[in-house]
Amino acid sequence: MSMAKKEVSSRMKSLEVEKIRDDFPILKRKVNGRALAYLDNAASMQKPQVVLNQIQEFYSQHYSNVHRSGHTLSVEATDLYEAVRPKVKNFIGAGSNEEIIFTKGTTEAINLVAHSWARQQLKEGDRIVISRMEHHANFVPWQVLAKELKLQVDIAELDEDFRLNLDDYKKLLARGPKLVALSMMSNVLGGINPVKELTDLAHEAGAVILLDGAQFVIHQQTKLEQLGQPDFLVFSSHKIGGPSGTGVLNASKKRLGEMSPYQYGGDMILEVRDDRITFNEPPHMFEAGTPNMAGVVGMGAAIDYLESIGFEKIEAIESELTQKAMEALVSLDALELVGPKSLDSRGPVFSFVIKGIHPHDLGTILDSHGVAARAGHHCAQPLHFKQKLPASTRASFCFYNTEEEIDQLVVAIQEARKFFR
Amino acid sequence: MSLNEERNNPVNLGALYQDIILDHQKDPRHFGKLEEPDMQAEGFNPMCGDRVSVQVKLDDDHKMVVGQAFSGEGCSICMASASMMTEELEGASVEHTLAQIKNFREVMQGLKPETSLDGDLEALVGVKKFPVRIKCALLPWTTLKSAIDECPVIKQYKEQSKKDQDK
Repeated sequence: MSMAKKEVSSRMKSLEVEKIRDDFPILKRKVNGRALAYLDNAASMQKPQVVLNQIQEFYSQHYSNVHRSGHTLSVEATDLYEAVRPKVKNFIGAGSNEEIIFTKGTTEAINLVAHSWARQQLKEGDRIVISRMEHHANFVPWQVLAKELKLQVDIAELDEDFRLNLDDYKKLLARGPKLVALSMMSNVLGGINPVKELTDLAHEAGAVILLDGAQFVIHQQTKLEQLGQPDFLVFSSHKIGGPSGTGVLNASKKRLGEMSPYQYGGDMILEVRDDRITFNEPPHMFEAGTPNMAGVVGMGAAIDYLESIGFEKIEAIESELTQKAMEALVSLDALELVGPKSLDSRGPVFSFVIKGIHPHDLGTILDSHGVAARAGHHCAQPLHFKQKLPASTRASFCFYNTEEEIDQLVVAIQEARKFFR
Repeated sequence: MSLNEERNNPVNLGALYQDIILDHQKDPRHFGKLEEPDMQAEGFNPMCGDRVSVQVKLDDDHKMVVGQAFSGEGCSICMASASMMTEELEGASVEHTLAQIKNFREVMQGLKPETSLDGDLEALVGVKKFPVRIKCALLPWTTLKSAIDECPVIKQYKEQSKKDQDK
């Protein structure tokens, strides 16, 4: 593309982003006297007005419990709730509605797999492979289960560019693990894993694979077929513009047949007698109790919203944003990036340390500039310990962020350096 | 004032990062380890990763502080607070130290007027305007408190004096 054309396309993109920003009321807020630059999307994304409207409408027009009563409101609530299942199914290209289980979020979805599948299927001496970049949600459930059942958890390490070391991964697969649980994109490093290859390798090694899509699904189109048909895929609603307290577990039909219930109670049973119980069919079997109905309905609106923008546009906006943010950050001489420097297979999540400034101090100074970023270990302590970092600062962008916000971040970092010279 | 209005006001960073604080951060007093401490404890703030370890040496009667040190890694507020704390410990009695810990905590929590702090410690009152940072300032002090509480000789001493009182 010629420079002039590139320029035009860049300007068009920023006009599109301005339009997108109008959909998110909170982005107009001021924080500490400055325009808010919300760069904590990896922790949670802001909500578009259509999601807020949908929740409001659900509560004000159709609210009732689902799957229970025969009255009009309950039928409407059930219809709205169940309409999200095929929406999610299409969103990820799953085979059928029963493969979509609504959970509280990614964490509960992984715990559900640990309890309902792994606890039943794994036995003493079996191995589980995870990686160094896992979030605690995809680390701790396996550690605890391993302790309980005497399993071995193997951790695939990273290479020098903070990418998953494929040789190490293959070496661990050669030990014949029963389960592999990997994030598709690191919430700290920003690198995107070669997911299809990882899935194929796991399957060739005879392992079942769980993909943690919590970070990935907002950045790129997620289709099971392109991911090598993983056995389990999990993600959260709040990281894709939907409400918190809601998420998805997608389990393949084969794995569903191997799973036992997660929790017991209402809605997950067909019949209860004093001396016997018949459980409901999947997915309801795994959704005991009154679910987060408004959360699920809101998640449906978030998916509609993302699809109305389209992942082609989302990826185009974000790839430019990633490139610009990378250029701006690595040009700061005291900044050390904790993540891949190459732009291929990389999302707009940047963790870094600034020499001489503790991340917590930097966080306060960024906040005073209206920049919302996260300081800490980002729920990935094993990664930070391995890198010998007590903490890092993370700026995580999404498609509604702008170049001006990158500048705002850079100015705030420079200001912080003045304080701690 | 609504929450939004309050948060919409510009922040005075100078109130937080006063020169005295930055001086203690750059040049921490009593940073290191003691060879044979009588009391020690480690404190950790899982939210930000601040980690402080405090060591104290007592006289033969276990009443007066004769040596103190801190080590660890943390933000400037946490490190400066630890450094100032060790200065306060110099030659203090255990009893006085416990009272000071209580005083510092109460000031930071807004239960006591800011004027209850003097010396370099005064500079830390600016932290109160940054609620998420109060924990940073408190960490060394709560760590020192657990070092005192967990010290076997002090425990014994306390039990004995309680028994004496009961008699």
